[in-house]
Amino acid sequence: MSGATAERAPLPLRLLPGRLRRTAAAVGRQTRAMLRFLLALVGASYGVAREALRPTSWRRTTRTEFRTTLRQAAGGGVLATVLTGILVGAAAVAQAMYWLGIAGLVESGGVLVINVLLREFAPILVGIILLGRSGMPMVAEIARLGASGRLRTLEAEGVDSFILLVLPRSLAFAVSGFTLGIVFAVAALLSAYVTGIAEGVVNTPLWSFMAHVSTSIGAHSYVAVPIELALVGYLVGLSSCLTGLGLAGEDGLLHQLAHGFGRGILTVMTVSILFAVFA
Amino acid sequence: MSETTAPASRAVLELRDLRPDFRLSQLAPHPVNLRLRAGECLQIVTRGWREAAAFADLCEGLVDPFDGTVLMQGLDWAGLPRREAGALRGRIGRTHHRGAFNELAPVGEDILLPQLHHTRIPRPKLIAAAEALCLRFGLPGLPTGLPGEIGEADLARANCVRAFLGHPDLLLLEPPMLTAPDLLPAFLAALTEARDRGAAAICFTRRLDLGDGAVRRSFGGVFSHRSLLGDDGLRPLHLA
Repeated sequence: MSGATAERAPLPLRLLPGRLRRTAAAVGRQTRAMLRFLLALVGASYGVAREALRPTSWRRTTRTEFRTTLRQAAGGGVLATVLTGILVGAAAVAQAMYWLGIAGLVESGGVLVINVLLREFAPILVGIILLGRSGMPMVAEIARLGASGRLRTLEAEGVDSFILLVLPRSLAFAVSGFTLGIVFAVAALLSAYVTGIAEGVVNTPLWSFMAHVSTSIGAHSYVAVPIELALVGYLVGLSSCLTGLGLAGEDGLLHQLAHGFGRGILTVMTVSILFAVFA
Repeated sequence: MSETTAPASRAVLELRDLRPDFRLSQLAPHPVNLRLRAGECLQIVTRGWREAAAFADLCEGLVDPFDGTVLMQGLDWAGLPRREAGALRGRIGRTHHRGAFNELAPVGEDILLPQLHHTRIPRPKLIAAAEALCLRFGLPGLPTGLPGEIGEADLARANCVRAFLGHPDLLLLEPPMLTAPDLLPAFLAALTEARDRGAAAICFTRRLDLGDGAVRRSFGGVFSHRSLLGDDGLRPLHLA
């Protein structure tokens, strides 16, 4: 910290010796940067909620943007989600049977596997698929619009970029999160069933297996899991939009992409942990 | 002032003791007074497109002035809520030098976007109107390619099509003298037609372009006023 900035530092910081002061300033800078993004996320969420309820926000251009994003994020991510679901379902059952077999708990392991698949894996993996397949291209696209000056000309045309880009895209991501989550759950359960049959630990018909699944999931999960999936999708979409717009303070496409990925992963993990603990 | 058949009492754009904020607009902070009525066309001679864009931004209320007021159709930009300001900007047709088109979307969609956003005119009707303007400005139809696939001259034509589409009340234009000089007759005809309809217009021309005698002569009868935007603010010029 230079002499001039040290003069402007708060009194407790000025009392610290040089190196400690610089460290404290660096920690403070990082904390403020992270808080700035969190505050931007909260503020933008309020804006999305408020604008989404106004019929005049849903103009033709906004509706077109919503449809395009939904097609890209949900439609384009189905294959990747199905494949991930099949692999995770098979791997989860195989691993669970192996480890539970060692512990002698194979009989009671089904409920555990199903809960882990649906409540833990689904939101995280769907969030990562959404982030990688649609969120990162969106960061690049919006950042490009800003860098080329197109966002500015949109404003000059009276087109609000929040209404045109942020509102429809974040809500389309929420719907995509829910849709892909359900696709993932179905693929993973079918894969788990087939693997269970192959391993010899499942010997019931498919309908009976699904009935067992539906009863082993707690009633609250029928509410919590869809909300979690939609919330993960929504936050991935919103954080990608905000990072692309540079509202959280960083410049340059490379920085924005790096920040977009980091924030997206952090958001997915935070939501998942919060739901695992409280829901 | 040139004659016009349009009603000329209503002020479409008014700048009252406007002092640009140099930090925001890079324009000299000298007071500017301007009253542009329906059917009038002001030519502002600038050093380059940056000054023109900064002045146009001030007229559109996109940049806060240091002091003074900007009124569009009697409404002060500073007092307008965001939504109303956006709707009012939808009544302005403007050509953009930078960031005119989204590089990842077809040019035709970008031409239609402001009208699709601000109006409820059916899309086929908008496309028909845009195609008519495209033909008038020398394009074979509504461009379907990306901006990177279209030449500079055709992008200038598309820029004009978007500015004139939807019968705007105020036009903020940079005539495409260098990028597409053959476009000038169509441009001037469209401008005259817009003025006759009651639109006000500001045409930004660079000093450099005015060195061309042919260009100067073509513009002769179009403007009602001429001004020079320089370091000492906006100074009136005699019409040639």
